[in-house]
Amino acid sequence: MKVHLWGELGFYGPGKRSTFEFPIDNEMPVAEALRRIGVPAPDVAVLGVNGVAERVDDPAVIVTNRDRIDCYPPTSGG
Amino acid sequence: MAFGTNGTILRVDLTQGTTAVETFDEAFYRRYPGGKALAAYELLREMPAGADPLGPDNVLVLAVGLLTGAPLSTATRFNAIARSPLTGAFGESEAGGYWGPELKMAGIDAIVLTGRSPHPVWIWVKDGKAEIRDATALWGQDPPFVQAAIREEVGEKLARVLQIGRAGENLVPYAMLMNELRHYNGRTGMGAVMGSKNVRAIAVKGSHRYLELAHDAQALGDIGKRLSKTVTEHPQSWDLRTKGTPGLTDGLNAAGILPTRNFRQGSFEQVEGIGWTAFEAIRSGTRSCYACAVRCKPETAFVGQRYSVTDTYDGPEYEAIAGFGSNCAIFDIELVARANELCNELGLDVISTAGTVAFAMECVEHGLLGSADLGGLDLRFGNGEALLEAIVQIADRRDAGELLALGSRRMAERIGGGSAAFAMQVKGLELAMHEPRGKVGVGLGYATNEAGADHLVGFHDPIFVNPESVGFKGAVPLGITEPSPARDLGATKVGIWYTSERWNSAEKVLGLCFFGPAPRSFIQVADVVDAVRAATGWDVTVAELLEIGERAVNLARMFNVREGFNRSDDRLPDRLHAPLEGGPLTGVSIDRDTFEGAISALYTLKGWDPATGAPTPECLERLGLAGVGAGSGATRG
Repeated sequence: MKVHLWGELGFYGPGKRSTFEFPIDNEMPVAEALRRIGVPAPDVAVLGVNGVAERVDDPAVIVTNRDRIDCYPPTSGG
Repeated sequence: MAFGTNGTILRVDLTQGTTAVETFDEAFYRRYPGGKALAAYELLREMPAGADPLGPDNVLVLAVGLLTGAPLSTATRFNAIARSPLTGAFGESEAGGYWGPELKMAGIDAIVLTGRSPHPVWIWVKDGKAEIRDATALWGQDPPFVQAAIREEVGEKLARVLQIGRAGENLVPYAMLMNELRHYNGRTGMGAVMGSKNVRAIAVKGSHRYLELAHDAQALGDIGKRLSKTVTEHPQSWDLRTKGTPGLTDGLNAAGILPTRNFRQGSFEQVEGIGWTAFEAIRSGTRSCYACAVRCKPETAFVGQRYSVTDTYDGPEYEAIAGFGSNCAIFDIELVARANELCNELGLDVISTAGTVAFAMECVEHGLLGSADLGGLDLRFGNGEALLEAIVQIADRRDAGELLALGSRRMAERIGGGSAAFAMQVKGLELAMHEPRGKVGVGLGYATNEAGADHLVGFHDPIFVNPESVGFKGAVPLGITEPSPARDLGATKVGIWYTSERWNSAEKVLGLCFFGPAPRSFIQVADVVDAVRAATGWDVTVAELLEIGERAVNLARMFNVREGFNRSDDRLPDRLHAPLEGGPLTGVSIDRDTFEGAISALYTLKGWDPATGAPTPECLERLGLAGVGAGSGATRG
């Protein structure tokens, strides 16, 4: 699975990397995939799965190794 | 004296050509500790009501914060405050860098400029003494030349130089101040005010250390050392250090709140051209402000096929990327970087410049302006070459610049044709690059802020959505315990904004950057309290710091009331009450009645009259402000 953790969420990537491949052994809810990566779901403001906006807490959103997920944090200006 | 300040204000009478130092006691400083509070107090006290913003009666106050210059990350800020030539209202802009800390170490907490010099001058401040020097040879020169010439004249390689550029000399009402070429008091035209006084620069050098002023230097130093080690251990400050503000663009686009085509849309179909990956390709490094471990300042340098940029100046920061990029429908990061560099070189606020050009572009689209009105420029959305030429013409106030230098509000008044509905400004100040339809608390801030549509007057709504998020947890010690959706305008959101604005204002009094304290970043609320206690010896609490922030807001409001502003000025551009036309939030608008209700509720919380927006006598009594700055003869700018 291709992962892009935008902004401050890159802090939680392996080695603090923002873009990386994260292999998963079978399909699973996106929330479970985030948990395995180590990204705290409350800090994901916008989630994209293959370019489509989805809810993090929707158990019907299933991801596989073929998918790409983009996680964006809440932003507070600057 | 050991309560974190020098206790001294330098007064410079430019008409008479004299300087004097005035001292204040500790009781005064506990009420007006520095920064916004001290400067606003001085403005109310010194400026006669109704003063022409570009006349000798206006007063420019430059005030460092209580903690500015402390060995504490992000404690670098100073405020520039005067009546704004762009808005006629309270003018306010902050900057970090090195000038503020140096002023503190030179034994001065604030400089008050009054009158007008009959010829160009610059001011030299060293260890509590000041001289007014001739600047005839500096007038009209580029900023790097001026900085180098002043350093050579005084024989100080590290004299810190605050100056205006060509736009300030030409009195463009949104001209800025810059220090060390890389740090900017961008908003509300403080550069034009300094230019109107015939002051090109103020250079400072001090030989003291902040810790000499601290009540408990050991404790303050220990807090600073501990915090500097935690910068990379906190996600928000790690992000600022790693990417800086250019890292914001993609996330705001994904959320549908990236201002696009003069705020018509909330996402940009060609964002890849200005997003993080594009920016990273031109980034040459990062820089810091004084003693700050965050190091968020982006630096770019490249030789491109069409444009080249050096690392002489700062940026582009996010505001320039969105302002010249998506909001002008330009998807070339190299062009955006060149536009940013031009503004810095000429001394223009990038936000108002970009906002005014975007407004003009929409006027062209509607047929309200043509090339004949714009000195021959074809200022269509997406025309980057015309944008670059327009920036130079604005600074010189020639050709298209004669019109564009007015700013979007005055342009709309001149053009008519319904253009006021899409002049994206409040009180005359162009909106920063944050879309209130997706984060409505920012809209409350835009509308009610005394200086106009600034984005750094409170913390943005997405932080307060999820109580388990890092940002929200950082706000809990402020008393914010209930979450609120980003587009909600109910009582919870109004309460959050009231607290958020007071805390943000306290940061401006203390001299802390927006990117320092929680909830935006890594310095927790308790750390701020501890730092103030160590610096001052005062037994301050969170409640007292919130009150200090609130007092500063009320001083600004008192100034506006005195100058004839009222509730009718606390309004958003009509466009924000109409649906977004593109992006994930297509169709979303801010309901006008709900918004007006939220403003009434906010006024009530603040102790302001819901009908007029003026602080009530009870409010002023509570804050110890009764009788401050009384005057009459108000006139709108």
